[in-house]
Amino acid sequence: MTNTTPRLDHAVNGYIAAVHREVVRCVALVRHGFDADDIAQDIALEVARRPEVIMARYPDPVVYARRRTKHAGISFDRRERAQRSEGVRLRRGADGLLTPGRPYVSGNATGPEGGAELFATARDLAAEFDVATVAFLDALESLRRCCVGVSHADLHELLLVDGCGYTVLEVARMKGQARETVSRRLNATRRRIRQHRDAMPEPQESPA
Amino acid sequence: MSSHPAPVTLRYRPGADVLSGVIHLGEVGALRTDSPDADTSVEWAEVADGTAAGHPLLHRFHFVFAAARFAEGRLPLPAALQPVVESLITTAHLALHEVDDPLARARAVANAITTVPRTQLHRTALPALCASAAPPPAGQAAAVSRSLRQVAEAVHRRDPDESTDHLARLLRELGATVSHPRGLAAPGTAAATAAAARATPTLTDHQRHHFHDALEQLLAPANWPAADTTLQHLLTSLEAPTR
Repeated sequence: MTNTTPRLDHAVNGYIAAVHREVVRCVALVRHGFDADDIAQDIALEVARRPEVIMARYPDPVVYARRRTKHAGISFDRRERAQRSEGVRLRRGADGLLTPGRPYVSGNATGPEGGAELFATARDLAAEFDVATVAFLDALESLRRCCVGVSHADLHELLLVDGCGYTVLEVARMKGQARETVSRRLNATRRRIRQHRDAMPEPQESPA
Repeated sequence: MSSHPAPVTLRYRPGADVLSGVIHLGEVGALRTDSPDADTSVEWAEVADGTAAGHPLLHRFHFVFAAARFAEGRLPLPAALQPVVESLITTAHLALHEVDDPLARARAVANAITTVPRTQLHRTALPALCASAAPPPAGQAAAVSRSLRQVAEAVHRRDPDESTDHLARLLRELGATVSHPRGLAAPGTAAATAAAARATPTLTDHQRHHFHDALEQLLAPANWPAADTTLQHLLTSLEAPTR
């Protein structure tokens, strides 16, 4: 292990700060919002985790920052796209408002495109008790029929991501599996639930 | 155009001394990014209601070495943001004082939310963010960059300690910044370098004076030939044997 001295600490901190600044200089011209700062932060943390290796290979932080920036933007976009597809995690839109990342296959919240909820599984406290109870039981039955053939473990994964806001990566770590594996399984579960829902007959309007 | 104050989100990284801000103008039209100098990036937005056509408003900004520029009164921000930025920078630096862990310093961030009157966001109200200086004479960016690196080496070789390490790092960063990509002034890096030169005890008053002159001349690319000459004088002074 390297014995650190104040002078070495300052050298490492100075290197990391210079990398951060240079990435901001390069990226701020082509990115919107706080993207430049986010990308710079990613690269700075990468240096902070293994400074000896990077500083030995690239003595000039500006050279390292310019070289690293070329690929960092692509990685950042890829991660953003992955997170956009992850459940109810809220994202800040261009207008500064928070919106859900993707349409839900369960729950009571309206999807980002608007429209009706998929299932009204929460009781409507303002409705008559008997009407609310019937609607609730109908919704539960619809949900049960949509989930036919889906294992309990798969439903649990879906609940963690779409219902509780965990990222796919976090669920993958819980399961000890690769993110891609869990992501594929989640997509298959969502697809199967949607197929069942599409095959269901439209609910009959109750006579007034 | 709406007369309501616009909400602003500020983000400051004390480890790197970078200030970023996004002004929430609602629905916006065309965006245009400007870089009046190497340490500043701003984005102007046409507001979508059309009543401010031809008068873009400030929509986003990044300032490198914000604290160093603020200390010299050279941070061109709307007046309403100045006190918030001052307290943000001050509190962030106080919180990070005596923290040496690289990861902790790299992660440190301070955020603030405030509002700014829309009249202060017009391009005409922020001339320092619009001016694009004329490029330096051909070959001057490379010459100045080389001189700055030579001075950095000389400073470091003369008295290798923490203060000269810091000054040499900033001189190298300034050298790399002014020469990329087309020779832009770097007022933030120059301000930080000037502060580091003032705080380096091993420099003589004469050398500090040279530093001050060279860094002032570097603020305008038209003066870079003179800056290069001053840097060469400084280099001679630094390389002279000490008695």
